[in-house]
Amino acid sequence: MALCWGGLLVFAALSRALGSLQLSEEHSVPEEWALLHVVQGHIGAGNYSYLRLNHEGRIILHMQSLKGDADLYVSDKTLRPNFDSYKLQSTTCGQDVVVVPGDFLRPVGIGIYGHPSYMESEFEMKVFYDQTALKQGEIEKNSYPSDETPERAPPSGSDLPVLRRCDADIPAHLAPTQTWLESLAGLDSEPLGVVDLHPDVFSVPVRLDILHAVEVWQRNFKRISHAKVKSRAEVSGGGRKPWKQKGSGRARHGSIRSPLWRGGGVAHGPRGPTSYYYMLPMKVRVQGLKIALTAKLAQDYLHIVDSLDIPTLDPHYLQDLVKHRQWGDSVLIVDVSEEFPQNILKATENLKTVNIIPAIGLNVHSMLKHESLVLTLEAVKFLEKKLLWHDVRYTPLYPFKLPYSDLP
Amino acid sequence: MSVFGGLLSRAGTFCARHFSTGTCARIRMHAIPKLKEVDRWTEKRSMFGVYDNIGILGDFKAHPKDLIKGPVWLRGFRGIELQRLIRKKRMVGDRMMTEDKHILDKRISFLYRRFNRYGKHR
Repeated sequence: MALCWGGLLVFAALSRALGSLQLSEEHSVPEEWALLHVVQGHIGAGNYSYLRLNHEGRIILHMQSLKGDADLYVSDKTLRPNFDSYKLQSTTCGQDVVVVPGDFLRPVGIGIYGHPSYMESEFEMKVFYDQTALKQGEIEKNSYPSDETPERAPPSGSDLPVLRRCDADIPAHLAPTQTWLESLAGLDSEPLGVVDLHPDVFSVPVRLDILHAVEVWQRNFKRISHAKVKSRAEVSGGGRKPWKQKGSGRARHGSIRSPLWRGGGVAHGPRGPTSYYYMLPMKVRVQGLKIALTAKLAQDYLHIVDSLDIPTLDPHYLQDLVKHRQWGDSVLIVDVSEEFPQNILKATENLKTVNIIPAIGLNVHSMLKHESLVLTLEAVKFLEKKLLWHDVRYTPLYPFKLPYSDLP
Repeated sequence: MSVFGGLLSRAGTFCARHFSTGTCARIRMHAIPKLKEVDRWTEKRSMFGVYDNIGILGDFKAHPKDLIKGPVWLRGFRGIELQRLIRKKRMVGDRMMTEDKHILDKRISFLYRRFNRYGKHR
């Protein structure tokens, strides 16, 4: 025990000494390091705080633990590095300095870990940009003007440009999903580029139970069964007692149309047109759409197309295109506007398995029935806008079809 | 062999065969019936479910219950038989035929008495 206390005293003395060293080191920050940002924060014991670094070039992260002990983990492979998945780390007690080289792929994930030996750690992190470390490769990379947002390196590694960014804000801990932008113009035309898709619409966790619930709802809520059979009161006749109660030797009966008799009414049969109407909560139906879109994208059955212009109105052209690109047996084409180009309308008119619908008509059953889904860019924008609104809306005080002052 | 048994029919008996030496099945099938061919891609089947999300994707101008085709008193409504009949009487009762109206009234009063007067749940 005495040794322990002694050790702690020594530790405290060392930390104070280190603290004084830190103060002296702070003044000696090289001048070519440009201070970009200062981040301050608290972190509890055993918890992580995550930050993202998007700036290009050689960055120095200079973190000081004002209270407690905060450790720094940096990785470009994951946006949430921790103590068993990181590329760089600095886990000293006190000052942590990490140099992020320019060739790390942006965005770089930075994790700040509060060491469990302290209940709460307070840190101050300064982000410096090292201007002197501009080598040949980095000069080429930093060749775009400084006011342009830095380009994300595409995960596919292709040279094709990103042709569409998401309009809505993406949460900081998520990255946009990317997919090819194709064209229907030529039979074997190459993809034109890459598009960003919002992760809260196109990469939600796939809840098969919600998908099932929405599909069953779609099948049943419109169902009206017209099955009806006549009960003993409705069948014609049967008002008179067929024979007297006692004396005839036969079983006693009150009417010839009771359910026991041949030709009699049915006791508990289907009664009248029955409806099976019910509504799932709006957010469940919205989530079903998002899950269906995510599933289509994840299974390679989603194709984004710039526009629906095709060269001929021959249905064989579309069939050859679908077969050549291996889109599957059935295709559902979705566009925003009600008016489609004449060519594609005529082509899909007589095709059974290639169907075209406006974006308002999108639904889970059709997405499950058709093997692959083709969306235009405007359809993607429309769907993102409509489906993301439900994540941020207030609960309705009265039905949405009545006018609200802030809703269009 | 079983035909003779069928000819000897006495009054009061309803059995067709009195003697039987074989195990003939009553259902006679000379061939395995063909599977009915269902076209899974008719217009109705391929366009099923389109516009079901007209509310959430279409600015809430319409509701999916407006898409339901059926009797007026059943569009966007679900209930047990008594509730359906009462709703039918309120909505279309005045334009029903007299016999149908009479049957409807009889059924409503029967169900009312059944649910509210007999049994454990009244």
